[in-house]
Amino acid sequence: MEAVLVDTLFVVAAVLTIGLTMAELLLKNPVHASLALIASFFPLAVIYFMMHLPFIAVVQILVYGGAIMVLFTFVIMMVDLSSGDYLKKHRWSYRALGFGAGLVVLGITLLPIFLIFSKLNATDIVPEFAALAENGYGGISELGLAMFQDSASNHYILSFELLALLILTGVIGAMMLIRRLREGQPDTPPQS
Amino acid sequence: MENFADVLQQTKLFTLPGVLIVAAILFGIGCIGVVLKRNIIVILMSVEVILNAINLAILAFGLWPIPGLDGSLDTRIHLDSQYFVLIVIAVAAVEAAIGLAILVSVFRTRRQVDTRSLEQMEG
Repeated sequence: MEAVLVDTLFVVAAVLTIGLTMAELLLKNPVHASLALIASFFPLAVIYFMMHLPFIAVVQILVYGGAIMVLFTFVIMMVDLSSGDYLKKHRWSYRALGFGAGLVVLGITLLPIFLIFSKLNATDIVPEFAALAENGYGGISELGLAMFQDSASNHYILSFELLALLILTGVIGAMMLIRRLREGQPDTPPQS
Repeated sequence: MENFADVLQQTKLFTLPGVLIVAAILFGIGCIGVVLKRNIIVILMSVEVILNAINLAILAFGLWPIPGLDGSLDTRIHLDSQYFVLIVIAVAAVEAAIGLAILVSVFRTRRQVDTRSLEQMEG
């Protein structure tokens, strides 16, 4: 019985993810397409939760949906001038949707506080997480130890620092690509 | 409630081939978007879809490891796959930032984000 439930949840999450990704391709308005892509991260996070990866699920929503897609939204607003009229015309539905999304986020944020005060534990709700903590995989603490330790078996600290260097290079490169020169000079950077 | 590991043995769709099929379909959709779409923004979003599919495939191999030639199983692969996915997510963020910077600098000269304006090499 349990296996059928897990199968059903996986099929529902997979169909939602694939459907929303196809909707992202088929929608004409780039604002709609980016919203469909953000929505497709949530069923994917459900699949990650089922694979005992709560940290990756949350990190994916935060980084992909919260940082990368916000960057995309900024650039769409900057670049695609026709979306502005659409936003001005439908601003009440956007406000309602934003209010609803804000309520959902508020509920998700207040849920741990409610659980703490009602003396519940995460392991009471999902007993499998307790077993995982004993085994030591899937947890944030294990991942953090693997990243920052430097022993014979865990040697990720070097790649972690190199990743920080890569991000710094990307930031400098992006700023160099879009910098405007002083007044009196053209917009495009000089061809060197 | 029985152990989730036992439940994982009994599921017929939530197995390594099932998750890999989902990842492959997502990868295909992303590739179609990269190749066929005209709007540069949608092309960059399809690249993010491709990277998401790659993440799903890596984590699937982390949860259902394939035993070696002598039958041994790498038990640390669940942890290692998570770290690999973190690196892929960070690299995807940097690549999206640089791709959008290129898009902005292209838009400043062409005033449109259609790829048909980029068909000629000069000008």
